[in-house]
Amino acid sequence: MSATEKEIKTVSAADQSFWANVKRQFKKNKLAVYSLRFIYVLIFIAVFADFIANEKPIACKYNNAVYFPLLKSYSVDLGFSNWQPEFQNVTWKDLEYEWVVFPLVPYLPKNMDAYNSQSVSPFAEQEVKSTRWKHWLGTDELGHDILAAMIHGTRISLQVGLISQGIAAFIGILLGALAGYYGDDRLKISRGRLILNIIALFLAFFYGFGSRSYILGDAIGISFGKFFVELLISFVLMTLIFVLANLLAVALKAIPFFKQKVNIAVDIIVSRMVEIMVSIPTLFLSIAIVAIAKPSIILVMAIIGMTTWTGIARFIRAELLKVRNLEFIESAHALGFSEMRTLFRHAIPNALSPVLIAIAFGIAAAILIESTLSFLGIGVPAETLTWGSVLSAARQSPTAWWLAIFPGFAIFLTVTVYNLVGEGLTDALDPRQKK
Amino acid sequence: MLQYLLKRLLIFIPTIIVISLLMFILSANAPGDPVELMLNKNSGNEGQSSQKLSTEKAYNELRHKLGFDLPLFYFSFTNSTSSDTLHRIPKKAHRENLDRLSSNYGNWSDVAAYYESLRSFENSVFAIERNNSNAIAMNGVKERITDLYKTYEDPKVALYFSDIEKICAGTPGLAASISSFKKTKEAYTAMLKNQNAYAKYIPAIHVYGFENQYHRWITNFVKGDFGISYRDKRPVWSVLKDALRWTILLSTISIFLAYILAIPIGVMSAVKKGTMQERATTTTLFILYSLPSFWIATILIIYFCGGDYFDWFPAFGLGTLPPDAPFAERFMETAYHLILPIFCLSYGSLAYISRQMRGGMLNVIGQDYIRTARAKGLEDKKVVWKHAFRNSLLPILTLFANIFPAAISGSFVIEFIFSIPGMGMTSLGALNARDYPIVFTAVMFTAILTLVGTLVADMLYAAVDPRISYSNKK
Amino acid sequence: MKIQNPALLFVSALATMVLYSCGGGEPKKITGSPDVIVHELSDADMLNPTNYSDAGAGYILKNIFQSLMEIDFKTLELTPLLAESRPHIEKTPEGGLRITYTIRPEAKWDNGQPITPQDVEFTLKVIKNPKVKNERIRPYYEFITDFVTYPEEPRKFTLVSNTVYILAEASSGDYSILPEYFYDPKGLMKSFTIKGLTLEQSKYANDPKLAEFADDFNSEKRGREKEFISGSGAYKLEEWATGQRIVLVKKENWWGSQIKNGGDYFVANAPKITYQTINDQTTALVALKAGNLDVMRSIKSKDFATLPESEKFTENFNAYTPVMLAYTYIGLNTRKPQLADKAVRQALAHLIDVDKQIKIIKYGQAQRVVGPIHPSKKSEYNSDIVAFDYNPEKAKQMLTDAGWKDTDGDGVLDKVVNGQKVQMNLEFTYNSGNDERKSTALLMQEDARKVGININVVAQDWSVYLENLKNHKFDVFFGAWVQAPVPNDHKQIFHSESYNDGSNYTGFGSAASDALIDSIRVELDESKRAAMNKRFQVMLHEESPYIFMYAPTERIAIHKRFTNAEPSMMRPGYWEAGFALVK
Repeated sequence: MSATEKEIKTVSAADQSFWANVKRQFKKNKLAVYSLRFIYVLIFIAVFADFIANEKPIACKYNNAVYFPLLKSYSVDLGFSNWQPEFQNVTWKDLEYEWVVFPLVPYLPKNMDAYNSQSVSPFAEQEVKSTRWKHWLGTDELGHDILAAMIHGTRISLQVGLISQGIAAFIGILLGALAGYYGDDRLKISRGRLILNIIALFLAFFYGFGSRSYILGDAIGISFGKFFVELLISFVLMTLIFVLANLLAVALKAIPFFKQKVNIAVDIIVSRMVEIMVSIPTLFLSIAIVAIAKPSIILVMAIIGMTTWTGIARFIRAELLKVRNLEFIESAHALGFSEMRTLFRHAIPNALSPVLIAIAFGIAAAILIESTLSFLGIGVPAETLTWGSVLSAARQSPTAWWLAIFPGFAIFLTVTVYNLVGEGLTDALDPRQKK
Repeated sequence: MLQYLLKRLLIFIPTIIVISLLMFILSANAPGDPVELMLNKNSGNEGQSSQKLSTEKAYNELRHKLGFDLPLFYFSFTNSTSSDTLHRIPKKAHRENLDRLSSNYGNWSDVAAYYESLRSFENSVFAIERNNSNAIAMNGVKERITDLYKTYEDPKVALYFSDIEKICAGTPGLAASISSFKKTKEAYTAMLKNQNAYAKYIPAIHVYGFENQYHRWITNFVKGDFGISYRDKRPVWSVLKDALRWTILLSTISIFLAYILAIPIGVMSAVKKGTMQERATTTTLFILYSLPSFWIATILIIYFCGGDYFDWFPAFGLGTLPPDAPFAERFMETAYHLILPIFCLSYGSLAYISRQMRGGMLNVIGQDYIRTARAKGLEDKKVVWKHAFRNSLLPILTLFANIFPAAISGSFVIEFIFSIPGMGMTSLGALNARDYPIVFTAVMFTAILTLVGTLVADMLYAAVDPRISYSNKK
Repeated sequence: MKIQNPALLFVSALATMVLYSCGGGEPKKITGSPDVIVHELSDADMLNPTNYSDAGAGYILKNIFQSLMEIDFKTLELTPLLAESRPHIEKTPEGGLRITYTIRPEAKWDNGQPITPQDVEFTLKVIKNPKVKNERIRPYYEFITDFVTYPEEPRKFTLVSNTVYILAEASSGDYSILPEYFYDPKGLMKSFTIKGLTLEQSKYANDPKLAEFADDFNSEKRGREKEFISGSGAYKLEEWATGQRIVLVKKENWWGSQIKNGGDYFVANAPKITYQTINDQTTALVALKAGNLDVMRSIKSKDFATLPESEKFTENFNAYTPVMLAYTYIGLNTRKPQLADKAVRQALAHLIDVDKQIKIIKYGQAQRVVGPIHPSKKSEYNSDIVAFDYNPEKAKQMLTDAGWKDTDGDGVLDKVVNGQKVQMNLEFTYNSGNDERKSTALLMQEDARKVGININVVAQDWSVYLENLKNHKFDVFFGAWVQAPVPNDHKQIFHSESYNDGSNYTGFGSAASDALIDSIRVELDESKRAAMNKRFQVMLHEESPYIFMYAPTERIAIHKRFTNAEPSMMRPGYWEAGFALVK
């Protein structure tokens, strides 16, 4: 019993400075700290990829005027301005400048160097104007610069990993926690509310998707921005319907039949959702969705995210099933801590260890799934080069080692670093480490 | 406990129904027409299609044979503009356009009238004798009609109408069909005039009864008749049986290997956390994990399978011994062919499983009772394996639920590269060819096994950790 | 598999070391088994000669079944097989044809019975049986409306057609003849006639006898089990391991052995032919070098270019590059506002550096073409047409002349068409997974961008790609047509009637072109047809609905121990049964 008392004490002491404590603990783990710094470097490369590797000069003097083509390209892309006629559709590196500052790597991944096509090794003689234009990591079949592909690929890999696992973690933790915490017997709502919510579900689906299917379908064909806006409208509609239903439910409580409480088996429902999700093959979903909409990175991220949350949900649920019967949670209950606070402060951190491992591997897996999709020829658009697509090109030309080694090493570093950070966080969140 | 088990088994039924429904919805909405694909098959990797003609008659015949002319489900829950007879229209493109028109204008009867008038106009054009003077005009009109069947935007329709008018006016032979064209135009204007913009916001339920595609399939499925594959016209069960044999063999061995290696590695790296030994193991595993299996498989084949380098392993297949060869020989040969595929299937999961094991172990080792056991002077090994191990298995058990479905779904990539005719290849091939009988059956079996897997995992939780209980004792 | 002495040593499951006594490094002598092992990329779907649908099955079936005529492997002319000679064809006064054949006296089934006109009639009835699952081929034989036998000449028969058609001769004899005694022991099809099955189809829709026969004929065993497959060819099915291999062995007393000078199809030297399925090209190439395969076709251009570097390959294999009877093209949707003007289409043709594409993508393994007639058909190929050269400047000028200018300064050309401003944005679709097509698209994208044409490259799943082409939902696509060495019928691809439901994806066609195509179809005189075909090529070149790219050469490797293994233009490019060991 004494152990439990101690736990409760630490629990209450930690209340004020829980996250500060986590931070302090995390900093003790040198390896994790360095890994985190490395992630910052990756983020830096991802954010500034356009300025590190680009075909356009950062600054140049051309025909007696100074230009900043790289910055200008942003405003052109956003529709604020246009290129002067002499810069329209030019090959930037062939222009005669008075002076010019090119980015570190003067190529974009999509540029094809016709003189260095058919996979030129980094050490082979390259047909370039000077060392400034050398392909430091070689080229692939069509003459794409591999270094540029690696730099811009960082952005894609980071996005794929973080966003897809963000989606997965959000859905997974939410549903898993609900299932594990409430189990099959702890959530009770009035009968009226239940019936109204079921009706609302049908109506929400009908008005959100059924009658708007063509609007949504057209939007996804045009652009993602448009689709997102339309989707948002659908969700607002659905939310409104639910709000309405629940307001009605309050009114319905006047009737005793509807007032009666019924039990909602949250665990059963969530577990079935997980099973259903796992049973439908990801590839089938991917092919069906990719066939309807245009291939794009965002779609790949969304598909990976929507299909990988089940693992996380199951971990959270399993841990919570264990934790919710632990003595200190029961004691916290006894001491009058609110349910929600107990759940989020104590139960979830306890369950985080497997989840963080799952997410860390999930990020890596997302990068690898993207490469497998490249192998199957679906996924990212044709002109986009990613770590995965370079690696799958390597399979076609086994002698071109540079196509395999560099992306392989990049994926390895990313996987390792995420894992080390995940581990550091696990340790830091562990309440026992605080003495 | 028994009560819980029974309850879970009962829940299987609605879950499976939901999964089968979802599959059905997905397949109905997936682009690609299986009938079209069957008649016009992709031949070879050059991707040419048959130069020969597939007639509309053959299309309708096949569509009826496969039951695609039946309604999808017992009932439909749509908006009031959708028709309950739409499924009878043979061409998918026409169906989609009509549905869109009725959604836009909200008056199905007028839309149907327009479609009928367009059809009779088409028939009247086809009835006209073709000769050299009117051939090009007739083709022009026919093309416009084909486009009209697929057009819902008003300006485009107007453009086609005026085109047809111009052509008809300029060609004396076509005058006969002008009256029926006028009717088409009237029907279109009527459709525009009678439009009801709000109809699509009114929900509607159509009931079709038991003569529907879903009912036909699910009753046959329950009876054990899984249908005939669209592609090679073999019974589905016969196709899957062949594929399952290899996949189950391959995946059970590789899963078993992965666990048998990963669990000790995980325990070891938890116990020896922070040592050089642990770091070296971890790094190696991460390197393995980061290399996609499609790449590793190819590299292994190129270097070790008798190409220009070493000749240690066979590059493909499962051996050539006839089925009547002695079992021992066949076993040896198959085993020899499976070494590389099994390696490629298991190395990647080593890192993940051992990482989870290590996480679980670290969690337990930090607990008080283990510290107490250690403080009491118990031998380290004994503490780890006897006390800590059992309690650290929880994350591993969760992974365990995936084992059953994984064992039968197979890996397309590895099967493709090593030419092993397993489930991965079969299902992906079926998916690409929209061979739905195979896809449905494969998914249903995966689903059932997933359910069993989760149930087993949940049972094991309770067995491993007595604090977890499923009975309603509170 | 051809492994000499497969002694293996299986050590442990963990670190596996296996010794393989396969001759190690020392050079192999060019001797070995007379059996032939042929590589296939995928398993055949079935060995049912009327119901199969993939090309691979067709090649295998040629060894088990025979047709009345076949296109000769070397001369590419029609040559009689079961028939004594090419048919006698006469036009009927009603505007149809009578095609008369006589069957060889030697021709026998496996049970020793002679092959008779009744077997031919039975085969045609099977094809026309509405319950048999052969929707794919049935339409091609609808032109045969009646069957006439001659009691006084038991080996002679006449097929009656009600139309005249250039391909009538070729298709009147190209189906595999089935033994009636074997496939219809109950005589279920006896009571039906070809005339009835062709002209009164509705009457037979629910006939129980037809259904009973079809049930047996469509069944799995008729397509896969050796006891249920039998033809007059030199080989019979021995083993089929699904997804792995199909093994054929030579019959002991094959009737065809008596025929001397009957052409290649009567030469069957290999005692056993194995069709080994290896799905992955890279794996198959390793297996070839390792000596597990004797014949491999359609080797990737890139791999083929590097093969001479491999000692194992050059020691054991001959590489062949026969020209393929096929061409590739970039299709342009002439109904799109951007591409409606032929000047724009020609400008696009000037933007593609075909020679560079052949060099980079096909590694030189292709021959440029200017039209749908293959360059090997010398009499019909129009060599006066000069292919569009790579000339971006000219392209730009042509676009400007056609009214396409960048008026809004966004780098993309635009023009007002039908009162609407249209941007020169095009979508280039290809079937996903086809890397050569992807590379072509990317190279074109780069060149087009420089003149202000924005091309978006989109990969589509095969079924979606096909559906979009049929519904004309595309701007630009990459395609290929494979041809047979028979007269060209352009109707399916270029006639405006084929715009609906046919393969005229691009929407090409005018009164003049339709008339020309129609007259080519019914012109039986070869020199007149050649002149018309030349005119047609000029027409296509001018209108450019297709940008004709190249005729690829086939890339084949055949083991050096075989002689009589010269390749041919005809697919698959070799006659494996004829391979004989070098003496």
